[in-house]
Amino acid sequence: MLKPKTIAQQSNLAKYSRSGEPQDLILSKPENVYQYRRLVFNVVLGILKQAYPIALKAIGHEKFSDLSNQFFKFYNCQSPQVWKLPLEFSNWFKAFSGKKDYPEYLSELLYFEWLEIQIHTQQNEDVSNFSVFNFNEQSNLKLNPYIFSILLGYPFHKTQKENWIQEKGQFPIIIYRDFNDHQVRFMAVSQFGFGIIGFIKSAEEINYKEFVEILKSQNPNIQFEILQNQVTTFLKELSQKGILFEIAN
Amino acid sequence: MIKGVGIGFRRDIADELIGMKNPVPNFIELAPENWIEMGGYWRAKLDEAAEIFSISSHGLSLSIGSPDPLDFDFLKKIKSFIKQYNIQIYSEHLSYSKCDNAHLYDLLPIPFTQDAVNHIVNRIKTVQDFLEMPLAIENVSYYTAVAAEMKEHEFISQIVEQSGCNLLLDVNNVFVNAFNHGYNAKDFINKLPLQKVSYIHMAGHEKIADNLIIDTHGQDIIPPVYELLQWVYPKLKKPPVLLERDFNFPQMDVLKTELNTLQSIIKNPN
Repeated sequence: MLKPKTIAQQSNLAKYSRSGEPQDLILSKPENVYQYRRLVFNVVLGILKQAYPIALKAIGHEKFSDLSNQFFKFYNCQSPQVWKLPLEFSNWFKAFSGKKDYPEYLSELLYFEWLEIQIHTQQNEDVSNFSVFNFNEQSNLKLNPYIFSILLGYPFHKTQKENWIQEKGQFPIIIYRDFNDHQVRFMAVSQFGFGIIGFIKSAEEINYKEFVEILKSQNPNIQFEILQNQVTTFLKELSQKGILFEIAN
Repeated sequence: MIKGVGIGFRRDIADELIGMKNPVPNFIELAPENWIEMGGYWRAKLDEAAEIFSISSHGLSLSIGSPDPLDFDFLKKIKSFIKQYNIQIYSEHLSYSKCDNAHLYDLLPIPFTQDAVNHIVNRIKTVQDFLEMPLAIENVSYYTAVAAEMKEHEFISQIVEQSGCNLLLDVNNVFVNAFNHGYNAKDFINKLPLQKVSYIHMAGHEKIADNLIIDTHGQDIIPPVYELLQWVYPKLKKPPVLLERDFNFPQMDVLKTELNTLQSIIKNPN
């Protein structure tokens, strides 16, 4: 069992490394203890800068570094895998009391940038029974499993940061990972397309025929041929981009 | 069985390593934390490498010297990963990287005290039982001792001998510590339980002041560190040797030269 003195020394070195603030430490070379603060914080700052290049550019190095410092000092990082740290940072910022000192879009921007990492690194799933979507009436519709749809409040993907607040609105986006080259891609969609993707995603099993029937019943005021044309065009685009597949029943 | 000279599998040089010829590394080493639960592009690269090379693993976050409890959820993932990739060596650092329920993502020095020895011995035994394989523990570089009550070599030796674990001898760390703390590297090595050395690390470092070297893994290995390996290797049971390079990657020719030098040393140590 560790003695209280040993635990206290370990805890104090950890506190110092997290905050840079002097602690009660018994050191053989006190002049070198700064190296621990420097090395530890550099790892954390490096990971966060790499994960959040847009946020870094938007708020500048000094503010980003200060924010990273507050995060690391006050928040207990939980994942033993450092590449998952940016998610903890994004979640921490959502509840951060000093959020008002940062741009109003930052919370959403951090989450948006994290999503790219999440989808890029998402664990592989078995897609061996997925085939190209061919509008077979009895085949089940299947979305690419590496997909996330988000309704952004700021046009991060469309304009420069100077316009983000001014052009605040609703921007439906699909983020997905290509099966073949594993790259993450973004697709801006209409509210209608966003709804369709959400619907397919939430349906455990639905074939193309059922899908069309449900759409028809949900949109009684739209002429069926027009609706079907719109849907067909959209589904074709999803299929071509590797977002929509089918599974034989 | 892992033998010969290997190299750290890092993303910056993943493609070069996968296609590497003359020399071909005998194995690759990776940090399981950086690959567990990762899919997509990097999983594909890892699988590609695993088709070619045997893999050894060198952990970062076990935090064997921590006052905090062991993380069995994490160990479970390590065990499963080791099994999935048929990994024969799992090594970790004799340090701590988690404290007060917070990960620090770097290696802090453990106080060289008897209670820390006892604490770590018990934890190593627990980890080895859980993983059903021996753990190799690495002597780490440190820039100041903290509340030390014994010498570094006594601390390491007691832990290795009492826990039954193996020793990962990081030759560069010995060199760095000998310089920073003013002791003789060979005398230090002679006091370690050399019969337990199952694995060796070789790396570069950076001298940032007249009296301070930082163990960076970002520079070439310097001649005195090669000489130390050449001196110690005949005393050992031909353990595998790993070239660690974590950033500031040079042209592959430089790494190839380092691999060749290491291979030549272990084939003809004297």
